[in-house]
Amino acid sequence: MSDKISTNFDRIKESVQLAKQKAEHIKPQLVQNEKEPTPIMGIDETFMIQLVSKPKIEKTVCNYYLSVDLKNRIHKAAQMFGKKDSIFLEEIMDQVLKSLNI
Amino acid sequence: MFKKYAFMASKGGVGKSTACYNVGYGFNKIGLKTLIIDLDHQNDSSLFLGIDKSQYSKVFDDLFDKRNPVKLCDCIIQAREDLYILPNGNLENVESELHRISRIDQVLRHVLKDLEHMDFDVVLFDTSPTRNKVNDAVLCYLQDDGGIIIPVQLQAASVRSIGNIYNYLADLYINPDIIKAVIPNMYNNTLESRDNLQFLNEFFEGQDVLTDYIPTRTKIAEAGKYGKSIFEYDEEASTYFMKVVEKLVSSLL
Repeated sequence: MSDKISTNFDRIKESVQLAKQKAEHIKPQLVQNEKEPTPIMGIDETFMIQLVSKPKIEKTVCNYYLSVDLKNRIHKAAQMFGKKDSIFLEEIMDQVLKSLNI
Repeated sequence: MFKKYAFMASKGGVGKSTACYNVGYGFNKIGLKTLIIDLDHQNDSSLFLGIDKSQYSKVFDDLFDKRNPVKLCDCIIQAREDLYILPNGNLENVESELHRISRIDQVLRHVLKDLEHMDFDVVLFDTSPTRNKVNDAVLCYLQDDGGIIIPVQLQAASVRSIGNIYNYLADLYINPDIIKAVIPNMYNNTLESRDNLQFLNEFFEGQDVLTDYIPTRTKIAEAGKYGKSIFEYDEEASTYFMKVVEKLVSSLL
C-alpha cells in the first residue's frame, strides 16, 4: 500500500517537473523576441487571403479548412511573437479586417 | 507606480481567497495602500472582508459596459483604512465579453488604465481556479511588470496542480518567471504535509519564491466567516500571515 502511495507521489512530482521544463523551454525564445522584434516572417499575401476568407473559424473547423502547412506557419509566426496561436490569430484578423475597412 | 500580483491556483479550496485578503490586509497594516480586485466567481475576498452586496452597486463587470460607461473609481469601495476592493457581479458576462474582444492581452491595460492616476502601492487580483478568458487577461496584464503568487495546500492534489499553472503559462507563451511567490498553505504536522513541503523546497530550490508555511488553523477559516481578517481576529494565527507579508514585501515590493 505504502509503495503504491509513494509511486503515485513520484508520478505527481514527475508531472510537475515536466510541466516546469515545458514552461522553461519557451524562455530563450521570449528573450530572443525581445531582442529582435521580427516582422511577421513567412506570412505572405496568400496567407492573408486564406485568413481573411475564414474570419470565424472554430477550432474543429479550423482543422478541416487549414492545411497542415498553413497551421504550422501560423504556429511559427505566433511563436515569434511569443503568443498563443489563437491570440495571435485574433490580433492578425483584427489588423487585416481594419486595413480592409471591414 | 503600483505593483501588481495575482493569487492564482488551478485547484479550488487551497486558500487562495483567504491568502489574498489576509495578505492584502497585512499590506494595509504596514501602511501600503492596497486594492484587491476580486475576480473569483464567489467574490470571497469581498465577503471575507465583510463587504456585502448591498454595499455596492457598481462592479468590475460594469467597466465593460460600453452603453453605460462607468469610472473605475466608482466601482472601488473602501474596506479598511488603506485597503480597497473592486468586487465583481457576474463574471460569466465578462467572460462572454472577453470572447468577443480580439486584443485580450490589452484589455485590462485599457479597462484599468485609471489605476495609474490613483495612489495605490499594491494591486492584488483574487482569481478563480479555472482556465478562462478572465484569467488569460489577468496573466497578459501581469506578464511584463507583475507576477503571480501561488498558494499551495500541502496535499498531493494541490502540489500536482502547480504543474497545471506551468502548463497554462506555456500555452499562453508567458515566461514562467512570472511566478514570484509560492505560499505553502494548511500545513499540519503529518507525514503528508512534511513530504509535500519537502518537495516544494526541492522543486523551487534556488528560486527564492517560497514563503514560510501557513499552518491549518480553525481561526483562519472562522475569521472570514465573521467578515474579519486574521489580523483582526486571532493574534496567534496572524503571526504566520505576517511572516508571509514580510517576505512578500522584502522580495516583491
